Amino acid sequence: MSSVEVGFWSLGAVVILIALRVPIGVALGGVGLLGIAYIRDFRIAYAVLGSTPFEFAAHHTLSAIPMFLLMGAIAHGSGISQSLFRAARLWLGGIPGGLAVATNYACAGFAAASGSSIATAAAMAKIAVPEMLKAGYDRGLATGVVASAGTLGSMIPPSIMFVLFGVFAEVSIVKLLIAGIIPGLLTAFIYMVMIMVRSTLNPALAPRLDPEEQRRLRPERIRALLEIWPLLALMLGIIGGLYSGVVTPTEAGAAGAALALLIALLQRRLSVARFVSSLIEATASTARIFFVAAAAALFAKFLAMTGMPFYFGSLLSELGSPLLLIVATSVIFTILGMFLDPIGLMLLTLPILLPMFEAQGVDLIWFGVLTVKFLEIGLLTPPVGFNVYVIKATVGDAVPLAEIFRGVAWFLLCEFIVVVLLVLFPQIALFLPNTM
Amino acid sequence: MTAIGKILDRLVDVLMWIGCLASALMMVHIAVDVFCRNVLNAPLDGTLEIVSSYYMVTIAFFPLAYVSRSGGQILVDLFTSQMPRRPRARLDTVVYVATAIYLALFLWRSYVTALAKTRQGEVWESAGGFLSVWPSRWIVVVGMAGMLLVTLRLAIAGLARGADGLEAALRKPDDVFEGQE
Amino acid sequence: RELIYSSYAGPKHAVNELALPPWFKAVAEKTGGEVEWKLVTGGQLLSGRDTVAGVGEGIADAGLVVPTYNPAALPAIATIYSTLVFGDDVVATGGAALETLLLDCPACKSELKKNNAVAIAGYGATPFKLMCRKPVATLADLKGKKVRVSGSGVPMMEMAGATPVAMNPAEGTPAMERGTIDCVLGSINWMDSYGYRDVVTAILDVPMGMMGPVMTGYINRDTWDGLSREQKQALLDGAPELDARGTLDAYYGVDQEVLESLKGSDVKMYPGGKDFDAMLETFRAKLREITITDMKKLGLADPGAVIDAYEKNLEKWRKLSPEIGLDVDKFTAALKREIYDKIDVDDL
Ligand code: NA
Ligand code: NA
Repeated sequence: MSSVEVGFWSLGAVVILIALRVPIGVALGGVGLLGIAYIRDFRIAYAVLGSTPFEFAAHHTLSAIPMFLLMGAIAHGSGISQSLFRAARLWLGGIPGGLAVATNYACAGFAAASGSSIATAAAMAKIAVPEMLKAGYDRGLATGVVASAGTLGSMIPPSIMFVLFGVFAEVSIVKLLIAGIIPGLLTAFIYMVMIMVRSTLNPALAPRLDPEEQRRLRPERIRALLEIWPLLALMLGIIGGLYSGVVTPTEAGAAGAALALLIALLQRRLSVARFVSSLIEATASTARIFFVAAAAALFAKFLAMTGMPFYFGSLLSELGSPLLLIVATSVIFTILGMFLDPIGLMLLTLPILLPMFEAQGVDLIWFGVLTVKFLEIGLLTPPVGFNVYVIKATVGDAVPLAEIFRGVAWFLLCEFIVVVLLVLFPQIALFLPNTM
Repeated sequence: MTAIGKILDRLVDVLMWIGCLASALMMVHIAVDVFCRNVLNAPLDGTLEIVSSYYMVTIAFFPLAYVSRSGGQILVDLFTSQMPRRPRARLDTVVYVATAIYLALFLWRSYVTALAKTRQGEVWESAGGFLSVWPSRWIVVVGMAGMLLVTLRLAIAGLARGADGLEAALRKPDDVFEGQE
Repeated sequence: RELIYSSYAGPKHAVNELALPPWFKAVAEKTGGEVEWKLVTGGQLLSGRDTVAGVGEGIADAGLVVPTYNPAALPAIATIYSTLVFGDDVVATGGAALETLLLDCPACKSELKKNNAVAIAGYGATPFKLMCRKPVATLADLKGKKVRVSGSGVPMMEMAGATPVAMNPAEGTPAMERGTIDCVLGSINWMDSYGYRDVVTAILDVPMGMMGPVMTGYINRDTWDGLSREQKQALLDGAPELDARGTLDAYYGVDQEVLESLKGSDVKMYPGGKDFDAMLETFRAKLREITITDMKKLGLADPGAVIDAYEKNLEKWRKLSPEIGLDVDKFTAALKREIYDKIDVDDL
């Protein structure tokens, strides 16, 4: 069996193990370990196992993830996030899927402060999901919207992924960041349309306030609006801190958690017990996610050793037209994105893809946007979908993993539409950077 | 078994507490660094390296035992959720045994790495000097050891007493999700 | 045999595009295809920090190694690297750093053995310069400015009255755009490789130190021992050109291209002045002391001896440099004559 074939079989092995209730981190790590042992030797496989998890965890930029998780947990534990959704319910209760639409745009707003999709989902999961469930929303919709809209964190600047792409492709990072704005907003818009259409066709997904109750509650609207200041202060504080240069995107997580703590203390709404349980939740969620992500990093090294990227490269090099190249690339991104973390996916594919796209005369800024779009899609697709895991880690047993993936499927449909639009109308990405 | 179980439970809790402490300290440390850089124009030396090598490693590895004890590893139950209780417990037991083997390999290898890095006195360049990083290699060892012990306990409980044993050994976390009242 | 080369630098980095491929090709030709290198870029296999351990354990057969990422593993080589050379004579610095590493540093040899590695090639980097979002023309302008910097640059910036800030270089561009940092001390080619071009408006054209060697030929010892004498010789024969291309094509050449493209752009160049010269002179005296203290802490018995050997070689290469100019072939020939002809294949 050739190394590349071993690589393909290993993808199947991961799927089977995961279906048999093997923890995903163990499935990825175990298959990666055995795979390297098979194509190289066990000593080398063992060396990779010894270094990869530490190397993965000891990462400064990833520190935003536990900190945004903590911020979300504090905002939820102190009740300051509930006020926003009370207000959203009173004001948007009549709109089909009002809370989900509100969550969608809250994620988009938060994306302007957070550089990472996983961190954005982490921050919003604890703020938004419990409120939607309380309001009787469909569990798939409630969790799916946060997982999916959380991916805007990488598309709307700031964005760690665009920065990494820029360093890799040696193209202007500032232009890349600006290029993400319109596609990000477009994605949020298409999400909204989908949510409203679905909720109109099937009101059970997102129970609306009945008109009678809405009239009765109208006087409370203004007061509810006044109560949301703590959460607004939190979000504006983070975004302001970021755009004034006080904090970097990585530091924004810790600053946000500290600010949430400060606001909760000022309001006297956070007991010691609540703070401790916020800490426990954020810390345990981080460990859960990192255990899988470190194993995915190991698995990515295994795939690099199989030569699979070169194999895909040789397939692609035979394609004549740019459009065929784009379609084939999309397929490869989608398949590998099912299994890998975003950084691993980028490391594996870009060294092969960049020269090809450059040779075809494709604008690399546009290709950067497409790449980040597929990294986002990879965060949502089973079996290894980190944004879905983030939601799972914060909701616990309340919603099964499969149900979150099902809820996300609708959003993936929207992503497909966005990708098609991006390919047909590159100006969606290129309009803003070209005005520079 | 119960005495050992109690000691193990206590150990798992201690690891979790240290993990939480690392989260809280990391938040404070970064916030103070941001303050010092912007207001005093004098950032704290070595924040980036300390965050990466100590806090992050602690947060990633120490809570793993706690997470495993509550059955909280991320897994897919789509195909197995309809399985009857006993066969599912048997499947779980097999998975726990396999997981324990993987973790044991992992633990031994991280021990070897930690020993080598300790002998070498691993440091990172930081703020014009050096930060000792080798101690954090042992954080991995301790975290993995805790996770392995918990997994072994689950495997043994499943082997010895089937579904009842597994259910008794798994402990749900105290902070039950509030959206499901 | 197919050997794996792990480079942590991105796929389009000049080292991966200009320096390594000609070496790989030469080795393949010389060995009649018996030794083929496969280049794995972008840290897919090993990050910059993991390369020393990873090559030692055989995860890759060779890798691109920056000594100061692993100072405890490679204290003697890190001593050469940390000793900043001022001015802009890249040929002298590159040649001297390599000669010290390969011929005049017994401590380097024994620490390579300890890490299960062999080193046969490397290059000298171009001088670091200050790239800023607002003009810095005098030393007084630098006071209180936040500068992204690492390694030996930290005490230098402290001496200059600036505030050193630690940050991943990739994070630096957005950070500078928003004013989180004011300047970055780095290679001119960072303007493109890290995208600083979009946010930098002023460059202080004062060379603030060259470092080397970055090791391109850092090879697993078991892999090396497994090669035939002729194959080893083939790797060594290609090394001088690899060194010369690394220094002149990948670093100096790219810097010149960037500088050329900046002419007529909005980026202003400031020449510096006596105030900077005086500061750097004071710093040079202090740096030796700092490096010796630091490296002793890492268990290196006599860092002074390494620095002395380096300085002696610098003197020698400064004399050779005018003759070589910036010519890759001449530099290759000089490296071969002065260094590689004196290496015994069986004694590495
Ligand atoms: Na963002
Ligand atoms: Na996926």
